[in-house]
Amino acid sequence: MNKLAVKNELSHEKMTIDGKSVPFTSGETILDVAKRSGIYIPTLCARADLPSTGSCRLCLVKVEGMRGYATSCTTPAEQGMVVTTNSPAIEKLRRGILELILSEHPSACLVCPIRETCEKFNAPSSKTGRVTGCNMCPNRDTCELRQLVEYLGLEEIRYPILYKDFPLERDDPFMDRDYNLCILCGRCIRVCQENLGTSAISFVQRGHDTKVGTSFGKLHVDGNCRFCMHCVDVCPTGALSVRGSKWYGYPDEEINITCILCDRGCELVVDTKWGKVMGAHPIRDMSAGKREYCVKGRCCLPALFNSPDRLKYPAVRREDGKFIYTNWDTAIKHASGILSKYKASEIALLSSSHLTDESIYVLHEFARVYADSNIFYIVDGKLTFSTIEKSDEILKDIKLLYAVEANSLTDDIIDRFSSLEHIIVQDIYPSKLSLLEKTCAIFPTTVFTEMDGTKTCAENRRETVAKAANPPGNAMPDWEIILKIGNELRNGNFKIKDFRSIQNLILMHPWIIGAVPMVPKDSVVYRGFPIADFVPDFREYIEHRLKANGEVHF
Amino acid sequence: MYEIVEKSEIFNVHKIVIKAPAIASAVKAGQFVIIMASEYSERIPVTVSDWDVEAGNITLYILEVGISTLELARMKVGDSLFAVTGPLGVPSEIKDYGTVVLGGGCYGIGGIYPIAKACKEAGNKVISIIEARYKDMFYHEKELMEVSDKLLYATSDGSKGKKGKVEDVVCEMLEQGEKIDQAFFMGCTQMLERCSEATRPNGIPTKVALNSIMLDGTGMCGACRVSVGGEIKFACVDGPEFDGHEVNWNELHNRKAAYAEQEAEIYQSYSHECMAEKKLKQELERG
Repeated sequence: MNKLAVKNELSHEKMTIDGKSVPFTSGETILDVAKRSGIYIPTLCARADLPSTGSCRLCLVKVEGMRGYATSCTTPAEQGMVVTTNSPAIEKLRRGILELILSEHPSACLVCPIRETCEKFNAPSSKTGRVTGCNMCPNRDTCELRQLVEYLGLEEIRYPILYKDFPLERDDPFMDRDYNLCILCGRCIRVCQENLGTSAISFVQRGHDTKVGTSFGKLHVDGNCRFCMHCVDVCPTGALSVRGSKWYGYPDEEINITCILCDRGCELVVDTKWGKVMGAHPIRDMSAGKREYCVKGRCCLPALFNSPDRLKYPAVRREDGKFIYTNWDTAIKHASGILSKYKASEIALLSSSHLTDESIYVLHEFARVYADSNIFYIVDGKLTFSTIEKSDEILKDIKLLYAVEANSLTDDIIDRFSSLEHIIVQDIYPSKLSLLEKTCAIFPTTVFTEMDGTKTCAENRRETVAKAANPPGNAMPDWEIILKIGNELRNGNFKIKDFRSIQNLILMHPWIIGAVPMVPKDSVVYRGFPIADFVPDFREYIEHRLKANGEVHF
Repeated sequence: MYEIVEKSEIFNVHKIVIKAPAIASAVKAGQFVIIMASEYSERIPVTVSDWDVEAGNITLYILEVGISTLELARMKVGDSLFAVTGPLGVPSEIKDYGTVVLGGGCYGIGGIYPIAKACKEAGNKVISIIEARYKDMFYHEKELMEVSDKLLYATSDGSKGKKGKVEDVVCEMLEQGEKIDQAFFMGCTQMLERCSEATRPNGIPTKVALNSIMLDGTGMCGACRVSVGGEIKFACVDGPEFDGHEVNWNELHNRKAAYAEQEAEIYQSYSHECMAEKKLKQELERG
């Protein structure tokens, strides 16, 4: 249903909820109307962004003139309806239902006498395989069952706990499943079937053996699951979890960023803790699959950006040929000393499509002033110049290469620089270029979660890139390093002064950003590095897909 | 290489029987081994719960609580551990105390078994108390029953034995006027702390098997240091058993949380495939 239409066209039909007369539009359910009127009805299986099925029975309400109780999530509002959402009888009913749900969910912690000390001392260090109680559960901070237990003030479960004893499902990449925690609300199935149209999972078996599963019990990776993880996002329990980011507990901060691994530029929320990106998920409104997120942004960011291999400190080659770590001042002086030895036509810059707009602009300005506009990109292994005046012809004259995406440089491409003398590398990870004798300086730089800025994505949308995590060691944003070198070469008179002036200049020269090649959405590299090299599960995923379909799409 | 000859799981506690004849013939009650799943794995200390000198096997109960124990949990019968070092630590002091109470939770249910057995053989009256969240989570009960005069249960939800924890059973026994001459406890740190507090008012001599973060296990690195009675002790060579009434529990809790960040982060780049790859490599090496 179109929510906007509901807001604008509140009709003259009215119903009474808890003695309050409220208008509604035909098609709305009792739950919709109650929610809009500020009346809380507890739910487990219902969600505003999913079709309702009325399976959990917690939203039962009394409708006058109707026999028994009605599930408010599936009962349409009617003219003159009189509804009671809460009464001692309804509360008793709800508590009974919740007790029954909890009797098939390992919930002994809820009634444990030492729950609080255990939560303080044991829970943080426990990363258990099989969850046997709330304190061991990765979902304990956001569990909707626990919230309901608190709302209904449940202190005792009268029934013995039945453990279903399903095997743990941990053989898929990225995802852990423990259906012993599942309460069969069916949200995961609805999001997969109804909202995304994927139908990777469904209820399997009958009666007491019912569980959520794939056809013939296949692994998800062998079926048509795309690991968008919307099922994890809507799961009210800890049954489904993203293996890589389930044990950090409650995040220090949740920061909205834009994922720029490809030109789609999806809005994501990253969870940060200890100054690092620990997990990523869709913004809450999108969590039920209104937009399908791809596995790269949803699952790969933490492993890709937190690798211990990240470059951390600037390094320069000494006269005796050895690399030493140094501070930024020395490194910048060293680099500008080498740059100033060459004529502008002898210098070239290799830029990267993954850079933020600010970094790209500063690189282009630097190239214009100091390198005769010799700036190129590598797209699908081929050199691409951003202006048509330049061609491969210039390569043979280049003596110094400033590479921002060093790993894309294949041996073939380097061989075409026939008179190359020096290389300066500015990157996030060490590459084979670091081993070349010609490499005279290596600068560590930041990834997009470690800097502020903007990025022009598909359809010319300019999205915000926000700093969520701390850069490793002394790594600096690309634009800042180039700006420092530019100023060093001109004794502080480089045209660009600071972040704000870059922003203004981008608005004045939009064609510079417009000429940058876009990153296709099926790309599996970030700044020239295959994502699979840093995320083992991603390698497994694409290998399975290549074997099954011969191609991978995101 | 140390082959796994038997493996089973009881609610996140993994029973692993390993072929290690030299250790089986030397180990005493209360001692532990340090194991490594593969060449690149973390070293983890585990109490030896049972051993069979003739067959040359040792039995370990491992609680899955992190990436290294996950790696062990995913191993199968026939796989081999890279290293099993031991027996390490000071054996439990076994003599005729009179009445001995043994309390175990989680891995401690299996862990107290050899101590119970040795105490029984030394002529003690042995009362074993085991705790779990609910009744299905107990294991190793039959064996424990054989070496105990009395086996008592405590569950969080009250589904078996007393509703509560080990210390609640101990308190109940003391209220009923039962005389306890010696107590041993094994389990998570806060269980040890609570149990020690329960025996303190009556001045019952209490031994707790501490589980601080351990590296080399030979007293060199100091990672496992604990404060006992104001003195710094190494759990690996001075312990693992210490006087529960003298332990600085706050320090132990804090030291155990020292690597929370790394423990959570390692899951990001973990791949369960690596075990399979390693196995493939092993098989290729064997030819």
